[in-house]
Amino acid sequence: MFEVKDLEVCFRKKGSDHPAVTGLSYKVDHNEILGIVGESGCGKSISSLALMGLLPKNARVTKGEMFVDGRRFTDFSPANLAELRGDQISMIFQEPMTALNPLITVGRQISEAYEIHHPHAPKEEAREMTYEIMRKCGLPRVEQLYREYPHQLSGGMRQRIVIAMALINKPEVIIADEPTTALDVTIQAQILNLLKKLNSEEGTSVILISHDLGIIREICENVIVMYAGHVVESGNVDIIFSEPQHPYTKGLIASIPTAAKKGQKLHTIPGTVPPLYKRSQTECCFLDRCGCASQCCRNGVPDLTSVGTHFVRCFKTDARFRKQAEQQAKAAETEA
Amino acid sequence: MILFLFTVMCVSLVWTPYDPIKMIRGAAFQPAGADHLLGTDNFGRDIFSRLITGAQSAFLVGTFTVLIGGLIGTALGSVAGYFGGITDEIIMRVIDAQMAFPGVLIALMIISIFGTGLENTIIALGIMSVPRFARMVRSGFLQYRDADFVNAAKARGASPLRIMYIHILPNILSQLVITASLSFATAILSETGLSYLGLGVQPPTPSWGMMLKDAQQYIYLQPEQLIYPGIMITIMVLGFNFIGDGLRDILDAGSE
Repeated sequence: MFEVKDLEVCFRKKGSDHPAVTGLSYKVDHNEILGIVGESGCGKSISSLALMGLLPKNARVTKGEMFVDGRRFTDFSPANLAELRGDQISMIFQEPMTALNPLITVGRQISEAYEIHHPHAPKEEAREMTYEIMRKCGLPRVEQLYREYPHQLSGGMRQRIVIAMALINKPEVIIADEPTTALDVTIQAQILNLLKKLNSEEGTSVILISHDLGIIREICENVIVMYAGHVVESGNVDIIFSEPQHPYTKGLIASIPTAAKKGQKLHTIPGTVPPLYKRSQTECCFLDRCGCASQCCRNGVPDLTSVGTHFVRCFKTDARFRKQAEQQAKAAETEA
Repeated sequence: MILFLFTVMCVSLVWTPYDPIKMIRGAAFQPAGADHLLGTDNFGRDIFSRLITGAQSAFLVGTFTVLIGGLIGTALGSVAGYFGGITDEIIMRVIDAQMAFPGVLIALMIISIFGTGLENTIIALGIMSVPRFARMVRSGFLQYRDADFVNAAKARGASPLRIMYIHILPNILSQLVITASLSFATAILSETGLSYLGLGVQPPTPSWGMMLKDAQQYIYLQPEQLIYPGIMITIMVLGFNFIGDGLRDILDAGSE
């Protein structure tokens, strides 16, 4: 069971902190696949790096707590974090070619993950475990493959190797950061199926980060939609896709090209994600690009509130503000 | 070209003492002949044997200098490059300070403190070559420190030590080898210079630098005495330079 509470990650630029992720909270159970979706720059990758303790030098976690299996690891020293990494929390990176050391055989890189966390195990044991996990990941002729170098493998195989590396110590949770972005569609399907299979068979929780809504819909049970560092909508995947409440989510879903939209102009959300130092903390982050923004949206950042079926961060859906707006409208009417 | 010189180098490696005893003999100033391949010097020592034995000193100095300079330099450079920050600053300032002194001066300083002789020469030259290695290793580490596979290794829980020496160092190995071979050449040259000044290897152990110096006195009497060590030095230094360049062409096509 994996939990994040109120995570805030800031980049330090010229002496002041600029938040890249604010108020991120979620829970992932065993056997659950959680999706995190959003544009480039929304903070999804940074949040996962923060969880792994792999933030770049100019970024740090300024607020929040992180728990794995009940253990709080927010303030862990690098040494303790290193114990967790690869053992209880694993990460799969986007680009499998660069995630592998070009000068070491793939087998040895997988074994390394085992050896680091089982320092007293004999070499044969590490090798056997490696073969086993390679087979589980659908890799053929494992004894031979063990001795090959990354550049001798295809993209799909490399990503399977990376997944094997992440899984060999049977972690509680795997963070998959855009695992299929660098692969072609057919391989993409295979990798996703593999993740699904491993999730159901081994009970490993999966946090799938992607900008591809199709993938998220395919294998995730729950999803978090992020924008400019905030969670704007979260809940069950099917509900969100069929009845999105937040203007951003609505826009995203409307932008998906489908056969039915053939010949029509593609829907786009005007504008771009604002850079870090231009983001305001006092009004809704989506204000500039929202089609239905109004005065109330400038009064601060909306809270993540329930709309019955899931959670949304928007003044328009927030029940309290709706009441207020209704009262104001009534007052304006009676005046006129 | 490199191959030829490389073979000559290996021939030099036949420094298994051919005629070490013959170094002190009776007849002086013999010209090149059947008995003595290259003649004898002012003390009657066989020049050929001295030449070959001189190769021993040269190789010893070269190898150990590179070993000392390489190990210390790599250790310093890797720590500086990987950890960055204050550690980096401190280490590099020390290196810079050393580089501010002309190399030979440092060698002279060390020798004047500890005395002359083969061991001290090696130590002095070793220390002299540390900056070269440290800088090179540091830049290599800086380059790979943020590589994806390093992050991936960290994500597996690898310790800094493991990342530095199992992951990053092999990627730098090619550059290291090139620097090593070029340092070898420089070291031999420096040793020659020191021996010429009488501060390096001491007699009766033969050294090419010393042979040059001795030959200087008798240049009118037996000019060839001067030529032989000169040629050997040239061949060895050129040889290693070529090897270094050749290696660079093969391994590191991107740089320079």
